[in-house]
Amino acid sequence: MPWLKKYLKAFELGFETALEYRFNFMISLISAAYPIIIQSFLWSAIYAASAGSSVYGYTFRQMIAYTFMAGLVARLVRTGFEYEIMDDVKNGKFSKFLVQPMGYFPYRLASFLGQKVPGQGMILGLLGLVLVGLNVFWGMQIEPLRVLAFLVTLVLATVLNFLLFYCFSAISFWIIEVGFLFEGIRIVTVLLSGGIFPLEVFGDRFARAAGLLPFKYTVNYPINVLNGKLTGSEALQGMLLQMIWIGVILLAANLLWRVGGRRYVAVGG
Amino acid sequence: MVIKVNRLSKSFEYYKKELGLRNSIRNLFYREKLIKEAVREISFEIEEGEMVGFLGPNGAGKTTTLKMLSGILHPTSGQAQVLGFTPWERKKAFKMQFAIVMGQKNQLWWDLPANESLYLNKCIYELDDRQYQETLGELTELLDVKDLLNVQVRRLSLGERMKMELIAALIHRPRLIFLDEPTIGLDILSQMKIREFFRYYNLEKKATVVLTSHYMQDIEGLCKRVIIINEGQLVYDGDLHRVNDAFAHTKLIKLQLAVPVRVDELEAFGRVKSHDAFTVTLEVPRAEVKERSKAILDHLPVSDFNIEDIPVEEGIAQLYRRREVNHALA
Repeated sequence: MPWLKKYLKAFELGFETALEYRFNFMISLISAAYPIIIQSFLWSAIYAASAGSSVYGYTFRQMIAYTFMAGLVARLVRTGFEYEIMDDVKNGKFSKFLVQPMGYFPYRLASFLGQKVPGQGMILGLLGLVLVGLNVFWGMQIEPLRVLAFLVTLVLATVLNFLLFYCFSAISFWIIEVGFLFEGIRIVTVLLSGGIFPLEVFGDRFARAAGLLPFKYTVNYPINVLNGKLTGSEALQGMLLQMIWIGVILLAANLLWRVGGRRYVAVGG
Repeated sequence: MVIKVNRLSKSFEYYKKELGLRNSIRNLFYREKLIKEAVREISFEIEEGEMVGFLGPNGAGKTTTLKMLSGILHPTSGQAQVLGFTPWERKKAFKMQFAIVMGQKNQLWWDLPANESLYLNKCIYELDDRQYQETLGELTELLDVKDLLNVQVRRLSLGERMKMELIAALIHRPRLIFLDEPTIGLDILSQMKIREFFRYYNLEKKATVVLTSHYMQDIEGLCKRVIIINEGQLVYDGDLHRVNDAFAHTKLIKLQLAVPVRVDELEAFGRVKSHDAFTVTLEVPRAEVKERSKAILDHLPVSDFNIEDIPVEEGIAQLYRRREVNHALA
């Protein structure tokens, strides 16, 4: 299968590039810890001031566990290639993919996954530590089956988030400088995906509305599989929905890129 | 026939901004759309194994044409057949057979050594190991960069990087190569090396090459035929050394004088193009070269005498200035 080899090589190059920039990655991990710590203080204050033992249906320990997991899962599925795509389109580097027998989409996917793997490994290790810590100090139950299901949903969540941002990056064909727009989109999607707070925090109606969007399936849903908020059949149903969303977004991406690609003007010499 | 272009046109939308902040603000709300016709109804054909210079002043539409021929851009109207394919359909079989090198763009991975990028290209073009090693060995030998394959691309000099770019572009042995200013910004030695390389490559591999360059040496050294466009229109298509025929109704007579002669006296024999004390260049009508020469030899203190054609550069420069020459040619 010679056609597969090119994408394996792209995967490998992504991997190598990620290793070249390992220091950058360490810094990004530290920056991920920062909001988690702030939120832990915030929730401590909220729970201390509230009368009951649970807030929005979460006990204090559940909330802290969610905060830690959300911080790490959001980091796990996070993209970053949208800036590269913007640069490709803005500066005419996209051209080379049009003249070579290689698809831009599978190339980006392979390179993205390659760049993700080293970091994913570390974050998964950290997540394992957090889980063990929760189990030892707070007696939180961890069922092996849930961990397995969580890993599957995580893979699907990564692919889904890739596709979502692949769609967003098609904006580059219409608007030339979209760096800030991407940052805005990222903040909104993190919020909608439950990457900061559980969606219940925003109220029932919001949680239900957010359930109709795909974002929830990138962070909130995998966590709920892991922490036991969902029953077995709910977890399976969620996986199915993840796959349906992947299919829908894939079609949307295809359409957007076909229409956008025609607008590409290949600037520069 | 490798390339057949028929009335190809491409126009772009753009907008203008007048000088100053006030106009920048005005532009936020209202942008007047303008249409630039980058390429207008050009037609030409190129045969297998030809090496053609594609010339024109900056902004003439050269790169836009090459981008259409390589499938990067869709034309606004017109047809093109390249290697039997319509380029902008971007068929895989088409992509496997050609390459485009842009002197101002790079395709190598900046942070990794060149051989990583080359290996990626091996995978992209689905080459087997033997083919790859053979071509790589040959190309690195020819361009003299064998020792640099393991060096990070960003640590290479501009000339070395260009050579690596060429290797990356030729690793799949394309039948057709578009070169868009491959020697831009390079020193004379690197330019010569690259010219020499393409002369050899074209002869040896029978590859068709379309070359744009602003260096006349590139064109004179490599191309017998040139296609010249200006403001998006084709103004000349033919032998490089006959560029002047179209409008060169004049010839140059170069004189060495034994004694200095005043300019106004010289002007009786033809238009004085340049002169100092002892050397003079006169431009005279082609039809009158004989009589004028005789008159000059009879009346001026000539110690040496030469009749020359107007240099090719000058003819091309004239074509860059004038647009409607193609009518004169027809």
